[in-house]
Amino acid sequence: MWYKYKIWLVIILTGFFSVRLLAQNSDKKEKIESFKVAFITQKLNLTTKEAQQFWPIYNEYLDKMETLKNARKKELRSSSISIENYTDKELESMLDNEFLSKEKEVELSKEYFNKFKTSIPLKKVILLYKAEDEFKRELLRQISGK
Amino acid sequence: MIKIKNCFLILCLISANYFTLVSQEVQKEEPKHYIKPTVYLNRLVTGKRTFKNNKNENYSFTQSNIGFYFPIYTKTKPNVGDKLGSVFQIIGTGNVSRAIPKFSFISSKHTLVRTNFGISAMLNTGTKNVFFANILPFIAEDRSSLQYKPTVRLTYMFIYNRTVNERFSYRLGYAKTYLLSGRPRQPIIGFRIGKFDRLHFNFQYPRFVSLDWPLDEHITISFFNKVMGGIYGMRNLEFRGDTYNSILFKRQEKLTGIEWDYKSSNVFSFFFSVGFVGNNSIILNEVNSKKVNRNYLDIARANFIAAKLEPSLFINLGVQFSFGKAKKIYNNLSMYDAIDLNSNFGSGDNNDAMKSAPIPYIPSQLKLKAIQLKDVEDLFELDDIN
Repeated sequence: MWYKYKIWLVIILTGFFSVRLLAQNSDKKEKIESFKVAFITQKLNLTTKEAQQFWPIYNEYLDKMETLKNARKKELRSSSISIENYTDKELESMLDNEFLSKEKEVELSKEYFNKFKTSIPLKKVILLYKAEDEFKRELLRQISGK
Repeated sequence: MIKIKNCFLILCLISANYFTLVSQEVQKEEPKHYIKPTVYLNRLVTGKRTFKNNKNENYSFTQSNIGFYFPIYTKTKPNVGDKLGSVFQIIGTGNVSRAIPKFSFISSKHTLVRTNFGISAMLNTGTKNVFFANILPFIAEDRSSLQYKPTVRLTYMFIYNRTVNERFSYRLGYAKTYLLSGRPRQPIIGFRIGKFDRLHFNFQYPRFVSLDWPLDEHITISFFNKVMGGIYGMRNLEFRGDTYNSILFKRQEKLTGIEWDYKSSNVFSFFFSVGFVGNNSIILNEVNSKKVNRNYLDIARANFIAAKLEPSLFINLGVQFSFGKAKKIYNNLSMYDAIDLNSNFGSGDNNDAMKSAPIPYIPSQLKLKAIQLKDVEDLFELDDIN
């Protein structure tokens, strides 16, 4: 009987420590994300109806923007590791891709600006962009401990 | 069986670690589904329960369960004007439960296995309505007897969920379930009061009543009362030595206790619950027998045993592994209800899901702890720092 429980204990402890250790980064990322959601919720002061319309669209926007930004950062990181090994042509194409990715991000922002407008008043859309900026400042403020 | 289960657990652990590493790699594609593929394992052990009418007889029950669910198809319709598009999801699900009842009047060990595979479908229309349907056929076997012919049974449910606001939702539906053993057709009536990520009260007939308290993004404490039960077939010659007929074993019990859920990371979580198992009864009768003999003392001649049992203690523990990435659902209230429906109703008749569904915890205090510059540097670009 005890043998079975020892197995369970080993599994729980191994799972707890190994996965937790490996997942530290994604865990922190999720924590910051939920903090951002809390921050925006407080700043926008949405009505129940507005919130029910707005958040599914905003989540979709976050997913798409994250995918674009991650792809761009991956490219930048790979080029910064061994920039000497690339030819001028390759570097130029990398920069072109960088501009293309940024254009895609702007296009996505425009597309979702139009979607946000249908779910919340324009004034609150402006407040949203402001809150996103303020959130970054708030992060820096908290990290610096002020 | 134990060795197979241990190998499976170790495989889950290795996969969980692997998927954790992979998920940290840069995500190339936008996630397609709202639900992550999930594997769960749990074990329920109850103490000896004496018969209320005869203290010499007793019964105990242990159950191990391995299950999974995974998204098969997700279709999100685009919004039209200010009307939110619908989300349709199909989820594959299955589990294998291995129950070992021990009766003081039967010396041989019976290993009763239920294997079910099925699908769930969910439709979120707009911001308030969720329709949930689930169909789960299962095979019940007595692994201790080769002569027992496995029985195929079917459970299903339809639920309509209305998300009134973030603090209140209600559910109505209909189910065919063996949770209440002999009464398979049941209405589903439920409601929730309170936000999912704060202290909330959940009443879900016929499954459970609970008071769930998410303390932070990792820990949830629940006080609960839930029904567990089932209908099994077994074959025992010492119980009814003069016949080869099969015996139907029905059990029903109510577990009242406290559960501690710990979400260690996006990949791994576990729960531990302890409490009393009460309001319990067992029924054993021959298949096709309509005779009723409530005199449990006359076991040798009885076709039928119907006994109420004294309460006892139980321990229930489980682990859960979720893999990959899912779409974000922050403050998406009807999706919260859909995820909760899938967690609590999608896994079939065992009613042994973790009390805390994978719903994000939104902090109330705007204060981040233990965050360093390296954790957030990816969020900033040069033109942000003016």
